[in-house]
Amino acid sequence: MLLDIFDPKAPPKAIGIDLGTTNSVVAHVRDGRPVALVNCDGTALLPSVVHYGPRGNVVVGRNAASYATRDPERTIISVKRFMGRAADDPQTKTLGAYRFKAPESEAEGRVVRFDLGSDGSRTPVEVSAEILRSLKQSAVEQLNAVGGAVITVPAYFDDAQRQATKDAGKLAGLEVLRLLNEPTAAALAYGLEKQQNGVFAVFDLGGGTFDVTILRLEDGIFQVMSTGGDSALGGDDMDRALAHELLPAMGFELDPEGNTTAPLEIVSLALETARKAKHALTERDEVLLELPRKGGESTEHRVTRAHFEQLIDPLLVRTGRSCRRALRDASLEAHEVDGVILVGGSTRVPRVKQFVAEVFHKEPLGDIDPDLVVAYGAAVQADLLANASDEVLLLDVLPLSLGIETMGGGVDKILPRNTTIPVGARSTFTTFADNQTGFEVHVVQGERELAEDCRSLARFTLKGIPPMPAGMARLEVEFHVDADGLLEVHAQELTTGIEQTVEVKPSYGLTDEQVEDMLLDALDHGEEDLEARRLADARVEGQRILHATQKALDSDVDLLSDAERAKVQQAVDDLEQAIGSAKKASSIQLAIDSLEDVTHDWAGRRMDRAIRAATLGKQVGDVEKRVEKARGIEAHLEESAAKAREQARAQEQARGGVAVSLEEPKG
Amino acid sequence: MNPFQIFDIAPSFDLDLKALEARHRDLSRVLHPDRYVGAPAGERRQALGKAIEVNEAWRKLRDPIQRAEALCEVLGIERSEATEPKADPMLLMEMMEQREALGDARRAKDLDQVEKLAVSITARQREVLTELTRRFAALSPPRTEPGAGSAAAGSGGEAPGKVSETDREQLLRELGKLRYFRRFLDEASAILDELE
Repeated sequence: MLLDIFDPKAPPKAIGIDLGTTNSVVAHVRDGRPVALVNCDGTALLPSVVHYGPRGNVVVGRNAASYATRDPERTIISVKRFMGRAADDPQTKTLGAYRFKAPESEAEGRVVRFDLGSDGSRTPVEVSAEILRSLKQSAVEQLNAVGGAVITVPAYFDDAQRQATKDAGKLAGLEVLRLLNEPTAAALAYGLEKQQNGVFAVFDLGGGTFDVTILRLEDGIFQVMSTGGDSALGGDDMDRALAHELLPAMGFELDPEGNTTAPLEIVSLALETARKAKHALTERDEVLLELPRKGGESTEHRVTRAHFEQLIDPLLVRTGRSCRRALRDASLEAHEVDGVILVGGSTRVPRVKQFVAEVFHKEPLGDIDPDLVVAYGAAVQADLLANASDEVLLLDVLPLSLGIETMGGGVDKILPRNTTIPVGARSTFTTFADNQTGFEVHVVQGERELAEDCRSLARFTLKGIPPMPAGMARLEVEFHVDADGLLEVHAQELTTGIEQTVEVKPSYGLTDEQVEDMLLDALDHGEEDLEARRLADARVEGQRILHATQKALDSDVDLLSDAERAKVQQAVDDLEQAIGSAKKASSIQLAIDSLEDVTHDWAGRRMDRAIRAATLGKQVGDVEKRVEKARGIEAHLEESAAKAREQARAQEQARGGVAVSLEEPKG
Repeated sequence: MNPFQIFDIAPSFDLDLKALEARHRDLSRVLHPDRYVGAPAGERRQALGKAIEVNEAWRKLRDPIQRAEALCEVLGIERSEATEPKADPMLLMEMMEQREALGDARRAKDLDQVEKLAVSITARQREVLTELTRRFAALSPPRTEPGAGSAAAGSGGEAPGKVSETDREQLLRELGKLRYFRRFLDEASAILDELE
């Protein structure tokens, strides 16, 4: 075995994290291959369980799991099921050993909170941050320094659930490079392994979430064609289905809604026993369970595999429905899929494998450990991002349609599901009453026809519209979805020329200030520590920008005029000096900002050149292509001058009432 | 820029979707945010803006209705609620009957019937697409380069001739049909989701 020699100057390494419902994994790329890192339990899989002990003592993983039946109230399992969910979400009503706390103030918002008794309450974001912090700690111990992180999310996670995951990453002190969809991560791990082009279906049944993704791999590009699923369907539900039978056998009745008088300890024990039975039934045809009964004695309970399969059948039917819809959305028939990949621990259940084979008419692949494959893919993506590699690119989609509530309570879809991201769209609305000065915008996500049946993401009122007759004001609402699948909404009033922009605060997410406050609380020395950390972060950021600028100078210095070049050089020198001597993060930030100022136009030119190289490279006329590629700053200046001329001419023609010609001036 | 210009292809209704997809991949390779993770914030924003433009254009070009709308704009064909031609009463009649049949199938939970109705409207849609291709081709200037999807240099470019009122009306009428069919197919697919 080779020993890693400690090198204090070694660059920080990027990591990939699978933040799962049941288990979490951190991985990184070593010598070109993804490997899972050992966690605080000494294994690759860290149970996603957090126990809040007395005196603020927090443990994560196997140790925490050992408290599940002893101290269920302060032991949070499957926290992922509650990410981005409201206090009144149906998820809080299903069978589970949790105690929830009603929000006490406006500031606590609508987010669900776990009640820890005398120790207050925690949000799912805070609980998840504990798991991430533990994984980060393990990675730091083994890699010495950790750079950015890619965190995976179920493809079917909506905006609120994604935002919550990103917040948890920030709260754990991670620089989140990207939120990556779990099936896409798995495909990445497989695709690199197999190096074959084709259409793949990823069937990902985890502890609490189900995703199906259809994607095409072609020459290093993973293009997601469609995705579907259910962010509240997984192995947990199989356990619950069986526990619903075990509880009565133990002497505790359940009503049809799953409410029971059983104490949390018993609920936890029933779920845990069901989980063990499920595991045993992957190998055996039947299991005999010994259950304690109310009153003291115990009882034996037999579960056959056939019966268990009957219990989980309704769950499989739901996954089948999602698979067929994903195929329809991709305009594909099942037989056109070249390979099916199994992901997630729940695909170990023999009936699940068999079911997937029936749906896609072929034997699924499972040769990479379904518990690790997502973390492997995340590590690969983190490595690609950190090294600005251009061999592989993931093109993912928006999983659920985005829209705005209309007057009648319907939904005006602005971006349909399965749109390739990042993407934007605009929609214009008008006032419906005379002299209306405010306009309420309600942003929703989902496929249902009525807004009330969709997930409510944000609600805001655009104020200050000047009094006008009804229908005169023009309100433009703009949606932007970034590569993490996160939404930003801007609204503007156009007619008056006054443009108003409203930043939308998500209903469930945290503001940057809230994250900052929580970080402060978590640190021993508060302010002091935070400033030291900010300074360290600013140095890293500054170095990165210097590096990027140098790279750009090496390849595209010809796109700078002499005067511009001198300015860039000056700003580079200033930043170098700030990194070396600054005592405050803000001085480095200032130098970064000025460098960005003087490189802004140049960056645009470099992008145009890259676009030209990418597109013209594919066309006939090789000579022309080479000429174009070799064009320097003069050509670009000439081009922008020509564009300005054209614009002026177009305006003139428009004023004259002549149809606007799109012909470009021949130059 | 119009979506054709963003993809640097000659404006046309009859696009080679394979070539379009390849162009989308090429542009994404250059502009996707993953390529700018380590870049300064301002550059990241610029690239994100361009990547969003490219994906927006792609969405429009792939969808026949939005492609037709974009092409109308390029050709200077005016489209507004006030000047849109009235739908053919025959079509309205036909759609009413079809929708009734769809509603009956939904109530009877007859999946096969829903599919059958969708298939028949898809066939009607195909006819209209052929018709639109023909009509747009008659209006657009001839391609400067042979081969579908290949771009003319400085594309998005040729000056449109004045489109006659009859041509405009017939074109928009076909486009209107396409919208009726789309709405029907969306509904059928929602019913399939619901019944399954």
